[in-house]
Amino acid sequence: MFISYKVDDEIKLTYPLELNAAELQKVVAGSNEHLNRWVPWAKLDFSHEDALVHIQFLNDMFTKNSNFWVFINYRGKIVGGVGLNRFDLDNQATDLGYWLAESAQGNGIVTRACSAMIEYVFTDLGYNRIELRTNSENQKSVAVADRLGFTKEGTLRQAEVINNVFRDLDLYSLLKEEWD
Amino acid sequence: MSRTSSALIEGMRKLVVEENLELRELKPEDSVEIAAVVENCFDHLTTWLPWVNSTYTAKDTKVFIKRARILSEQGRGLQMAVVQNGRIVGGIGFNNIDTVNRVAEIGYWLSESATGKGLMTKCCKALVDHGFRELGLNRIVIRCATENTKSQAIPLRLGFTFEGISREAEKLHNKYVDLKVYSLLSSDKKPFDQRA
Repeated sequence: MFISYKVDDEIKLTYPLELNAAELQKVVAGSNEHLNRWVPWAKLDFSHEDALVHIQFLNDMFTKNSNFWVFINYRGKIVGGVGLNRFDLDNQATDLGYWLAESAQGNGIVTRACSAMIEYVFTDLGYNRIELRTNSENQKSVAVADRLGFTKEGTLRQAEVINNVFRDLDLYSLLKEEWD
Repeated sequence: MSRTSSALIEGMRKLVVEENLELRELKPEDSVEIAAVVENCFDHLTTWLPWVNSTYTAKDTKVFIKRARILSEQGRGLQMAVVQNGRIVGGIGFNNIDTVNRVAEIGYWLSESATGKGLMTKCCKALVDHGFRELGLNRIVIRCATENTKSQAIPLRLGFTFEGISREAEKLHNKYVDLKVYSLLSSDKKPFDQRA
C-alpha cells in the first residue's frame, strides 16, 4: 500500500493515517483563522476528535474510490493537503484541491505538491481534464492556479457554502495537452 | 403561471406540468419503452447524448434507472420520464444533488417528434420550481455542448445566467466537447415568475 511519495528533497506526500491526528490538529488549529476562510472542514475550534474524523473521512473516500487526498509533508512536518475530489471515468476528468497552513506559505509548496498530483492524473490515470475551483478573493490560491498553467473558465455563482455563507467560485481547468 | 403540482405516489415523485404533460420518476420497467424511443430516433439522440451509442440496449437504461432509484432514496438525485398523453417522449432529472452546498444540475433529452413545441422548456421550468421550492436548492446548473444551440435555448428562456465554457468537459463518442455552463439561483429574478 502507498504510504509516502517523495516529490523532492523537501516535500513528501503521505497517506493520511489516524496516527497523524495530533499533528493535523496542531497545524490546522495553528492556522485556524487563515484556513477557516476557505476550507469548509477547518472549523475555528478544530479539535483532536475533528482531526480524527477528518482522517477517517479521507480514508473512507479513498476506499470508495471517490476522493484521493494526501498530506503535504514539508521538511518532516505536515503543513497541508492536496487531493482529487471526483473520478469521472466517463469524461476522464477530476477535481484538484489543496490547503496549506499559513506559516508554510511562500515556499512554492502547494505548486510543487500539485505538480506531482497533476503528473499522476495525466500520466498514470491517463485523464484528460483537471478542474480547480477557488474563491476569487483567495489570491494565494489563484496564484497557484496561474503558476500551474490553469485557464480560468468562468465564475460559478454561489457554488459553495463556507461558514453558512454562499460564496462564488472561479472555475479553472488544465487539459492533458497543455501539460508536459 | 400556476405552480407545478407535485405528489409522491408510493415514494415516487410526480410533477404535473400541464394537462397531458407530466414528469414522473423512472421505474425499471420504463427501460423497454425508452429503448423503443431511442431506436425510433437514434440519429437525433446520438448527436448529443453519450449514452445513446452503437452498443446501447434497454438493459443500459434499466441499470441507469436502478442506480437513479438508489440516489433518489438518498436524496442525491431525481430522474424522471417526460410523459405526454401517457407516453414517454423524453427524460429530465437532477444529477448529483449536493445537499451541503444546495446545488444540483439538470440534464434532459427529448425524442425527435416531441421537439420544437417548447415542451422541454415547460418541463425544465417545472423541475426548477420543484428544486427551489421543495428540495431547498439555491443553485441549479445546466450545461450544454457549445454547438448544441437548441439545448442552450432552454436555460436562456428560463433566465439562467451564462457563466463560462468548460473545456473538453464531456466525452461524446470518443471525442471531447466543450460545455457552456448556465446557472439559476433561487434569488435570481425569473422571467416565468413575473407573471405569477
